[in-house]
Amino acid sequence: MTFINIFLLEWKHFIRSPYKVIAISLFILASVYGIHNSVSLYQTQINEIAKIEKRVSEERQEFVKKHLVRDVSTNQNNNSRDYSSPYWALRQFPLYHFKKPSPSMVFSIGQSEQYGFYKRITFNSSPYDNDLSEEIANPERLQIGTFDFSFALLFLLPLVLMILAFNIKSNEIEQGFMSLIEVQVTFKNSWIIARVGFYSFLALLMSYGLILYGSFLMTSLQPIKTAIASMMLYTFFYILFWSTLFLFIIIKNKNLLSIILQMSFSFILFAFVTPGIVHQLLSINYPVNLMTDIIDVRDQRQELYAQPHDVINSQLRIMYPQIENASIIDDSLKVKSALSQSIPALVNNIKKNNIDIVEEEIKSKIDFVNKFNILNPIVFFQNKINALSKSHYDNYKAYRNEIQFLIDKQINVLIEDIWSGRKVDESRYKEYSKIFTIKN
Amino acid sequence: MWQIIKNEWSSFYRDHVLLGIFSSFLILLSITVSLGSLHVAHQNTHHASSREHIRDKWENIQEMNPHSAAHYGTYVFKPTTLLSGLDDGVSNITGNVLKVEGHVQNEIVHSEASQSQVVSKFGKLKSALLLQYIVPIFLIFLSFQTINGEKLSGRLKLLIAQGASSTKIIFSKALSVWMIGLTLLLVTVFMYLLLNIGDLNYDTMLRLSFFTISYFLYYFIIVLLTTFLSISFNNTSTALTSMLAVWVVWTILLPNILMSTVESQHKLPSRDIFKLNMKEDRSKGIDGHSPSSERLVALREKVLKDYGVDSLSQLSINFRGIVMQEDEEYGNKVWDKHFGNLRTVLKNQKKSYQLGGIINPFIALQNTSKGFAASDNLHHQDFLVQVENYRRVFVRTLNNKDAYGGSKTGERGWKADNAFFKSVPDFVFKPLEIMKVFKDYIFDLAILIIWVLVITLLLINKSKRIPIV
Repeated sequence: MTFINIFLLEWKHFIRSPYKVIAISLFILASVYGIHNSVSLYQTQINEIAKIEKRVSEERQEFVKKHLVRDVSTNQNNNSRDYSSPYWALRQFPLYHFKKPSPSMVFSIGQSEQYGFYKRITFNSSPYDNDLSEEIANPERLQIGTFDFSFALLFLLPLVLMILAFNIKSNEIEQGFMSLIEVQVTFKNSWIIARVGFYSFLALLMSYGLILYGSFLMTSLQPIKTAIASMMLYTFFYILFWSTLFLFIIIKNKNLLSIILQMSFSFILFAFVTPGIVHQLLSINYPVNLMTDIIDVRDQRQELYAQPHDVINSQLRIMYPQIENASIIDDSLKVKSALSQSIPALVNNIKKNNIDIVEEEIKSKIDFVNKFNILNPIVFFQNKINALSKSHYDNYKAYRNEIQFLIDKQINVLIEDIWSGRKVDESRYKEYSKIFTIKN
Repeated sequence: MWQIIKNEWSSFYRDHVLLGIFSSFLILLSITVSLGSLHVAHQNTHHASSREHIRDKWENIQEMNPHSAAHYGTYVFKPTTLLSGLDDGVSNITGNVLKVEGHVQNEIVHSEASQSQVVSKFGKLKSALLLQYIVPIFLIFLSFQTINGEKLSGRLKLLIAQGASSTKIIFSKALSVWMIGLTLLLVTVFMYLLLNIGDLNYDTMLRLSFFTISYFLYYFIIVLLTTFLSISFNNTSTALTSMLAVWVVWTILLPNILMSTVESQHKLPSRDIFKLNMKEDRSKGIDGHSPSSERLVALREKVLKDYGVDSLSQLSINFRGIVMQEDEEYGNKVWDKHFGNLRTVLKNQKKSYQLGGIINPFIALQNTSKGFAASDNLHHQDFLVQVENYRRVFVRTLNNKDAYGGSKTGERGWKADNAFFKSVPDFVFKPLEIMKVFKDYIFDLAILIIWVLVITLLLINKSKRIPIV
């Protein structure tokens, strides 16, 4: 019997096995449901971002109309806030930074529900502020997780493969056909390999079909071409992993019960036990960070505000040597005010140092998890798929870095504008919109 | 019946493979309980030192204006409950740090899940993970093999032909497998008791009892359903794959799909809309009544009248403290309205999800397991309410000091001393007593009991109809 013959016979066997057809159909239905869940989340995030962007634009126009269109040389407000001063203009400047969802989110929503995707930024902000927490959601739903395509692929596909392949060989042995088959094939194992190969190929085709279906649901395929290719590659290796494992179990065992038992326990081992052990060990070695380093910024800031002006001045001059030649340097009143208004730059520096401590600990945690990748294939593939869907921890870390970049930029502009004695008018305010933009 | 059970146990004992798997389970469960308890102990130590650190900062304020102190605020960390060593429920997902300050009811942030990449989909290797997902698989195989072995060897028909009651035989076999599940469960509970003996109290014992009962019931359902399917199908592979399919649908597919559906039925607002609505209600007044500017004028007039003076400068107290407290009181009403709505939606989601137990008893088990382990959303919400109640006392204490502590209106530089800050009480978490929330789990327990009754009746009916020829 050639491979082609075995494939054709297996196809006949497959379409005549109602439970195998049902298993495949259920998998396809579940995957389609997962794909649409991701599309829905993608659309929700896109709409939310559009809504905030529209509001921000309205707020900016309103600010210009209310505070800047008239003569900026005089304080038009009754309160102490002079909005033509860079300090107040920037402090009130509506600026949001978004983590725009990638269309490749259709494959996996990853960790996108554990983090916020929009954040208001001022020079007093930090990437660890409260308003960067995740969207309001039921914690019990988050605990169970959203059903997406990666879930179907990583957790349901091995079970489908198990249902498709569990009775290869054992069925023939139980029905007494095995000797008959052995005389028809050159090598018994090649017959088993061909049959398992058929189902692996079927699973691969089905998965590729679903990947393409999901991709076509997104408006444009161009930006996710690489993600589609990577997704197909990961799917291939993932199916290869399970097929090889199941093939080995089928070859090594003779009766149905031991085959199912070993297949089930290998699934349990990789889906539940190994990730569970790694997670438990991680929690014991690294208890959840209660962010006391970041909280301590509160006291360090208090201490900074209590410092005399000359201390602030010398610290500032180390960070911004250009203020030495600032145009207001000879006006002691203006310098005094500028020093007070420049303190956020020093606070930002403290925050960054303390954030580094937290990020360092998180890095050690991730390194710890990655050490177990060889024993933890499902989690390995999950993180790879999350990365290509731009919903991995690293993508949110990059988003936090962008937030920090914008904060730094605001502070640089603040220092530049304060120390040059600049007044914020309509045109400068509009320039801010251009300066504080990052495309992601 | 007892004799059949004893025989079954003897045959389990003689089967080296089964004995090996059973022993592995015992070892794994013991390790899991130990690691769970170790994790709780580590987390508690870390929690205590962080809490002490924050409290020290507060008590070391030498002097500060009370209003500035309200902005400075303090922090509350979510404690780890003793039973979370068995089932940590939503603890990995919910935040752990909550800032307590004036003007705003903050949200809890910095969840464990947000501090790393994906580590596991189904959580840490806590006892609940083994007891919910893996022990049932073992029981499915055992039940299948017990019945199927008898069927294939023809011994079942022989026994029935000899006059033995088919119902008795079937039930005895099912019970013998169920008892194996019970043994694993009881070993887990015993180990847990042993490791935490010093910290146990009446409430924990009560919770542990209900926790154990839920698993007793679920294992009964699993074993009886497998037995039912094993005697219903002639084809061995169909029987086993059907039950495995039930396991997949119950434990992996349905909880996920039902919870997503429930959340889309009872929608929660986006964070942005939620905050905007609260901001609007605070400035323009709840539902547009009594905007903040009008409230301020009315308050000013009232205070001047109460003190019998014409201007704020004549007051012997600091009007700002009164304004701040009045604003807090109004803010509390706004927060009660919006956070109240949020909690109502979450409650409705939970109720709808609980209905899923009718078709999937695993949902009822998960609800009771994390509920009795004090790690579900209900207990999390209770913690948040306790912190908010504390925040209100904390801010009121500071505002009262600002208003009546010795400063006069306009004295922005006035500061309270260290003795005052030391006198502000720290947050004390009071664990929720199970009997106060037991009603929330009655439905889940009832669902499990109904499943037990229905499956028992089905099996009695089916076992009476086993063909002898």
